[in-house]
Amino acid sequence: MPSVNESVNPDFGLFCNPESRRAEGFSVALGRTLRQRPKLIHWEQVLAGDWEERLGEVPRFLRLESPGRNWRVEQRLLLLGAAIEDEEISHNWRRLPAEVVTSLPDEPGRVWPMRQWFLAWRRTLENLSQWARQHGLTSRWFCPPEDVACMFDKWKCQIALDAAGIAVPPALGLPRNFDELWELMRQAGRRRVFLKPCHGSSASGVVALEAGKNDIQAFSTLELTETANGLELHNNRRIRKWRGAAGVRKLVDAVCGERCLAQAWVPKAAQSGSPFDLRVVVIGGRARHVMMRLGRGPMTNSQLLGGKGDVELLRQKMGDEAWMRMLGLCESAMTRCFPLSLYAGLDVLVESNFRTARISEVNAFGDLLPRVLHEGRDTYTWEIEECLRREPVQVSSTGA
Amino acid sequence: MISEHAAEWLGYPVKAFDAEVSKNGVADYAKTIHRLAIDWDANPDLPTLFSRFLADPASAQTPAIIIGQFHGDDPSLGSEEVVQLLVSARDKLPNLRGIFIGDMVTEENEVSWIIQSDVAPLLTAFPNLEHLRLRGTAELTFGGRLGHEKLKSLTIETGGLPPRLFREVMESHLPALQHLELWLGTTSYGGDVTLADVQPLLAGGLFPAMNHLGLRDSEIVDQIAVALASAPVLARLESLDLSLGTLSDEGGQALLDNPALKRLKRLDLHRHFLSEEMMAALRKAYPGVNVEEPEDSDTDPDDRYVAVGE
Repeated sequence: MPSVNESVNPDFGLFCNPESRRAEGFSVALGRTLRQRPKLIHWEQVLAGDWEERLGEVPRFLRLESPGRNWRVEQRLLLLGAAIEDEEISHNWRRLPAEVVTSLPDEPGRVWPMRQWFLAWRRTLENLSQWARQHGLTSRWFCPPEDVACMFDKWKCQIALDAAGIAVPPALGLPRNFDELWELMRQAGRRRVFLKPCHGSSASGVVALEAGKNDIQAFSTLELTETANGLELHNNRRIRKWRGAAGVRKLVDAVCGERCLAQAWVPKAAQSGSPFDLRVVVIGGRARHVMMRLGRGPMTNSQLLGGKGDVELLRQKMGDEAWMRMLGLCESAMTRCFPLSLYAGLDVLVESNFRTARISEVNAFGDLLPRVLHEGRDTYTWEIEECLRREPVQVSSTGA
Repeated sequence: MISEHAAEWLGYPVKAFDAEVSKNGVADYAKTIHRLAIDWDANPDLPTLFSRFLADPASAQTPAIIIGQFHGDDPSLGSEEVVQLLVSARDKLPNLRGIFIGDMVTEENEVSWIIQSDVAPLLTAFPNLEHLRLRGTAELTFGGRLGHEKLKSLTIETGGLPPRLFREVMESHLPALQHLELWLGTTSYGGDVTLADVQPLLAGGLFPAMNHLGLRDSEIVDQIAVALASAPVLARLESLDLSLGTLSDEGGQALLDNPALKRLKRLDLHRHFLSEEMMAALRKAYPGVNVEEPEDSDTDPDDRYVAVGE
């Protein structure tokens, strides 16, 4: 690590879980680029309400990082969410009362009520947004909290992209159970759909469902467990197939409680025998890092260990024109829908014709791509540079 | 799982003729095979796409045609319309020698859900056809009248070959057939063909011109390998393909002990459950044998699965 002058007030404030790989990755990049450390503002403190007095001077740049993978933060969010009334209360998205949340154990893989979690996350972001407005700090965000909140609502995000003329997999709606999904599929004339929890991340809770002439089946990483307290949902690393109407219905009924977006299943292109999607990180309006994520089934997600594909080979196969059009699509998605956000990680489907592409998701925290470089620099380094370029200011650097 | 479309067929490169390409037309009908497929959102539909393909008089040079996804997003639609379109275009495609219906990947439809139809009208409409390849066997039939004087190759790809269809092929009249390739698949998807069904084929009395036999993607490949020990058909074969199935050391040993295999020009066993030792022994006995893509040979026999299972 380069030597760091602790007396300098940091220019970068990071809302994060300090132990996370994300916080570490950004800190390392900042140290290398500007010989600074960021000021870490713990989500746990934010949720406890005592962060402002700890903050001191507000850094020039404020960056929001994922609150995930920390049980204390997760539990606090679920607790906060238990007290927030849902504007979609009539939909009966799954909830857990506060007294149950308090006694929950940390169970990795267990799916907690995602809507409840989101209500609290959105409230937290709204509070930060309000705080920044009150103090005239709105221009300091890497990505404004409102954008992050929108990206954490796949339904809202889909509508925004679609309205802006960005190619997306067509949406069918927000079914509350299997019967509603079936009706939506019938109306839309679709036999193959993805169900994606609106507030989930990675492949958590995602279901790929297809109906043939005489058969129906679904793929998911979910496991359903009957307990004395009802049905529990767990995520697995293994993709499981559910064949037949009874099983599929049970799975869909369960996952729909998490508020799922039903999207048409667009056939994906494949490389070396595996269907894939792309993670494209757009930073400062330009599509930069591209990672190709291979799947062993319909799900493509790096956490499912399908491995990485060969981006250069894909580029050749698509041809420069289609490749540039795909990158342009990603850039348009950001400039049209999230012009104030410095960066985001987009999930891109290349269709099986290898020519056309669609944006399937926009991830606020989709920039954790270790060892993926664009012109020699990782995502964090590009973000820091673009942030300075966007607003040229004198930044203290002990290295200069 | 089938994940990629055919990139070449019959020695020709394959190119897509889809919504986008069809707007501009294609340059080379004679030396390229085109795959006509509609998008998952079915726009434009197949008749439109097909008429665009035929609009250029140069399409008369077409040597072979591939039909990909023909059902849009609804896998319950069968290939009747495809068969009708091709039959009605017979006079416009005088050079057509090859037809492949169903070049779809798993992302587009499960192979066991691809619904075909009665394809006998194709054989009647194209008396000079030489190559017929079909993927998916649901509702596939030859109407009990599979017969053709000039057909050289017949390929049926499936995750489960129904015995009734296998018997239709066995009872056919195909005097020119050199290349027979049948995927047997798994009993989980209706692939209930047994060794007893296969025996007449091994006995050598069928298909007098046959020099290539493929029994691929099979759960009973070990039994077939054992039965090949004294199979008269081997006297005529130049090429044997037992790939994509659950071949284990039991079948491998039978192949190793079969002197009749020495005279094959080509032996394809790839994607199998053979042990390292057996692979080495087979390579030594049959230089050039394809034993690539090994699966774990320690897999419990009940857990071995074929490459394309649905």
